[in-house]
Amino acid sequence: MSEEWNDLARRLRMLPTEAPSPALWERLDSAYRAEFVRRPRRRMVPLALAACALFAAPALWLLTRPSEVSVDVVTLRIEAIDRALQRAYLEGASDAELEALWRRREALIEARPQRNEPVRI
Amino acid sequence: MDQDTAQAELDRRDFKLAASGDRGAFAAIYLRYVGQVYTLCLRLARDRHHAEDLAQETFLRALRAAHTFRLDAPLGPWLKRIAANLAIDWQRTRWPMAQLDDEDTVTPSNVIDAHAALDLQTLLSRLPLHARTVLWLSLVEGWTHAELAERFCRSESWSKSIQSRALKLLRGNP
Repeated sequence: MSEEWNDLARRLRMLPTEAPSPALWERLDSAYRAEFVRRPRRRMVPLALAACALFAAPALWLLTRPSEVSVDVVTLRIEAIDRALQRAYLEGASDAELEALWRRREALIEARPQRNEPVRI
Repeated sequence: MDQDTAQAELDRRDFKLAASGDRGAFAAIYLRYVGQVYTLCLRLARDRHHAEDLAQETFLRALRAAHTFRLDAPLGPWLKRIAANLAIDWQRTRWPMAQLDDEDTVTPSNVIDAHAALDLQTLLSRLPLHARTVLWLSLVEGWTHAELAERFCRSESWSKSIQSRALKLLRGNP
């Protein structure tokens, strides 16, 4: 019996290694990217929130200070984009969506009028 | 540094990187071990599609449990242990224990004709699934009957009995 088992074990070990279909890697890679590659960005959420808060603080200060400007439309838009960015990070938005938001924000900052040139609405 | 040590070192580095999101490292681990893992899954699975599901889940579970992997242990056997555990758990879920014995009942359709000039791989594939699993894990992967019994939630005598019946089926002598 033992000899027979040993012989069978030897023959089973000699069976060839099998190859899966290429589709396995595609499925696995997709699952891997969804679960593991996106994780670093989730870790960045607190940093992103801190960055948003940092940008939002001057905007809030501008809004609340006694000023000759009643409503700074551009600042309000920046603030709205900051909120959108915050949501986007929390919801795990794509890099393209995030980049588009950051670009719009930068464009608004560049277009923001000087403080001594109040916007009239 | 001998070849095995160098391989183990490479595995440790790539596995750690893969678990932290490095896709290139994950691809390297996959290419190195998919043959072993998939072949084992195929021996313990119903068909190729099921074997691929098991192999996929094996790699993902390994990465999720990366923090529990002993860095001084070889990666290949650990991956194969995960695959075997998954396969057994699947069998237990799919077939409640009461049916396991029924499935192993020898019927004309699963009696293997040893004189039919079939190769061993074909003979093996004709065994009832859990008989094939017990046979393969004990003979090829070195599982003890105690380990098999624990994973199947059965007794050691059950495992020995299944193994014995599997051999009889392979002989064509139920």
